[in-house]
Parts: sequence; C-alpha cells; structure tokens
Amino acid sequence: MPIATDNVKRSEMQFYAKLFLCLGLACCLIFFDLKKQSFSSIKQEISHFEYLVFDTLLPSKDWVEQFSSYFYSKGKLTQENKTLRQDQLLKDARLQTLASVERRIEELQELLGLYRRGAFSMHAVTVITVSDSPYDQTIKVRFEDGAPVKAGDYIIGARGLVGQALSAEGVVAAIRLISDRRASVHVQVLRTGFRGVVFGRGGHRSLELKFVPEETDIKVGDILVTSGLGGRHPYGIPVGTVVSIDGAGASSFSTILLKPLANLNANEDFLALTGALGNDLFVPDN
Amino acid sequence: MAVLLQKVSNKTIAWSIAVGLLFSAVGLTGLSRPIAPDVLALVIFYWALIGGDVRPKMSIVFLLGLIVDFAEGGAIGIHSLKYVLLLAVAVQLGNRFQMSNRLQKIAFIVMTFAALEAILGGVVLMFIKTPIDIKSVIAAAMWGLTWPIVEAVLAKNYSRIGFK
Repeated sequence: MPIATDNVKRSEMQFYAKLFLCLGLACCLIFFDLKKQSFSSIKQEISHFEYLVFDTLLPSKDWVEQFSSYFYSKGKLTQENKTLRQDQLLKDARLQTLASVERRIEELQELLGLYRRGAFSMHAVTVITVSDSPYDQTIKVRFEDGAPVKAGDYIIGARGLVGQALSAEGVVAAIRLISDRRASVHVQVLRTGFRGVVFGRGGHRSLELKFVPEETDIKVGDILVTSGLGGRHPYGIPVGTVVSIDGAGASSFSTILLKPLANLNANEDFLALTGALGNDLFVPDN
Repeated sequence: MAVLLQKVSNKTIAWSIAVGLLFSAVGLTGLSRPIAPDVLALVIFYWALIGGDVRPKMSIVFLLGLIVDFAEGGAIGIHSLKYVLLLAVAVQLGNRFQMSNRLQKIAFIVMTFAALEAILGGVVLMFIKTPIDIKSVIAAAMWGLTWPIVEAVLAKNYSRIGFK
C-alpha cells in the first residue's frame, strides 16, 4: 500500500508539474505574441497558406454549393410539379365541363336554326326522365305551361326525328323514341323515293327497314326521311341513314339497318311539332 | 469505488479530436469567431472527464491549442491555456462530475466554459487593453448547453459495465 500511495503521489506531482509548465509556457507565448508581436511573420505565412488552400478548394466549394442547390432545386421542382399536376387535374375537369357546355350550346343553336326555318308550329321540350328498361325506349319531357303539346305530336331533334308523344298531361309528356320496338315510321329514301316502313329494334338504338325486296335500289349511306303518307306524319323529317344491307337469305327481303340521325341519347332539349299535319315541315332557306 | 469502462478505441478518440479540430480551427460552423463554438474544447473536456486511459495527454492538448491559435490567427497560446485549464478542471472534478445528475453536469459545463472565457479575456486584458468581450463569454456558456449532444455522440462507443 505505501508503494501504491507513493506512485499515486508521484503521478500527481508529475501532473501538476506538467500543468504549471504548460500554463507558464502558454502565458509566455501570449505575452510574446500580444506585447512583442514575435509571431507576426509566422502568422502571415500561415494565413497566406490558408488563403492558397481555400483558393484551391473554392472550385470544389462551388461544386458543393451547386450540388446542394441541385438537390434543393430538385426538391422544389418536384413539389412544384406535384402542385401543377393537381392544378392540371382540376383544370381538366373544368375543361370537360366546358366541352359539354359547348356541345349543348351547339345543339341549342341547331335547334334554334331549325325553329327559325320551320314553317311548322314548334315548342321546346326538355327531357326530365329516361326509361332504364332496354325494352322500353321512352322518355318524359317537360314543356312550357300552355304549349299545345298533345298525344301524337312528333318530337324532333336538331338532326332528325326523335319520337312521338304518347300522352301529355299538365306540362309533362311521355315520348316513345323511334328506336322502341313498338315504334314504326313510314319513310322514303331521299335519293330514290322508295317508300317503306322503319321499325325500332329496341335497346340497340338502331332501326330496321323491313320488307324491302332484294332488287330495290338502296345502298349504304342513303338518307331516309318521313314520307308524309296518309297524313299521319309530316313529310321530310330526317329519320336515319342506312348503315348495312344484308342480302336476302331464306326470305326474299333484305335486312337493312339504319342509324338514327337524331341523337336519341341526348338528355336535353328537343322540339315538339304541334299544329296541323299535311304541310311540308321545312321551308327552303331561299 | 470506481466505474469500470470498456476500452475505448483510440481511433474513436483520434477521429473525434480531428473533427473537433476541423470545426474549431477552420470554422466550419459558419459562425463568426467570437460566437462560434469551440467544438475541440468540448471534445477534449469530454474525454478528460471520462478519465483513465482515454484522458488526453497534457502535451497533446497544448499542441492542439497551438494549432487552433495559428489557424485562427488570434493570440498564440490562448487556446493552449484554455485546453490545459480544461484538462486540469476535469482531473480535479471528474469523479464528482460523473456522480452528478444530468442537470448538474450541464450547469457545471456551462459555468466552466463561461469562467474559462472570462479568465482568458482577463489574461488578454493584462497584456493589451482590450476589454473582455461579454458576447464571447455568453456564447461560450451557451455552447456548454450542447453537452448532452456531445455526450450522445461520443458515448455510444463505450458503456459503463459496473462498479468495482
């Protein structure tokens, strides 16, 4: 134990001796530097060397700055991109709304043109319900209070015949579309004058011209209009255009399919033809 | 009663001192000299307080101080004096420091750094009539509050494994 104590004391003495030596040396250095300016030349050399070192490292410092600004700007650009994408999505949605508004305006303009040209009495009707059943191609429309819309009146769109009113009560009328299986329209091929009867095919929104002999002069693209025969239909309302002709198979009649010219899917505005029948529907533009 | 410690790698000590020297000598913190932290002082004080084999030697501490002085361009010997005094304080009060709770440790560090800064200011005042910069004293004390961070960074390389 005395040996250990002596060792500890010796190490302590050594420590304190070193401590006072270092303290003394430090104070001397401070004195010589502050009072005597003894280290000025050395300091100048070191500062010159530091300047050289930093000057050499400066390009890499620039590189480091560019590197960090690249990542900073990348992050900023990513954020900006995300914001712009969200804005774009909103604007696309608004644009689609705008497109549908433009289509509606076009349709209304066509209806207005039709209204102005027509010699027939017409009243605007607005679709309020559409039948969901594939076997029942009917719609309900609303018209202005006091308008003389009645059962039997024909409903036309900007491009052609839409259907016929089944009933009218108050300001609401039920309309059977020409594509309904129970609907039939007496038509005439505009090009040749051939007359026939077009029937609805139900849920396919298409029409069929039945009982047409195989040798009849009719081809794809021919336009069919209402014939006006019997005074039941006004003459000249476009009904449909021929899309396919299948030659007679077992029977002697061709199967001719038509596409309605009117947009039967439109759920907006049509015109009801009120007034006396038997007159031409349209007057020429001249 | 002594605390047994696992052996700290000399490489760890060397690296921590090298990083501290870089921050103190080159001034990588980006702050101006009076208020920039003396990271090397914190590192030296930490290893000195741990005690035992990891305590830096007096001569090395003195030389490190000289390097910082020449790199900073300030009064030669100031940092040597500072680091040597830190070592002395750590040797004298190290055991008591380790027995204290966290709050007491932080308070001790803050007061030690503030007092040292004031002493160094007084030493400079003795030679040249420059008043003690109160800002640097306050800044040194404030940087003492980063002690938990220094401890967290450096302490992960060892752990106390028991009492003898």
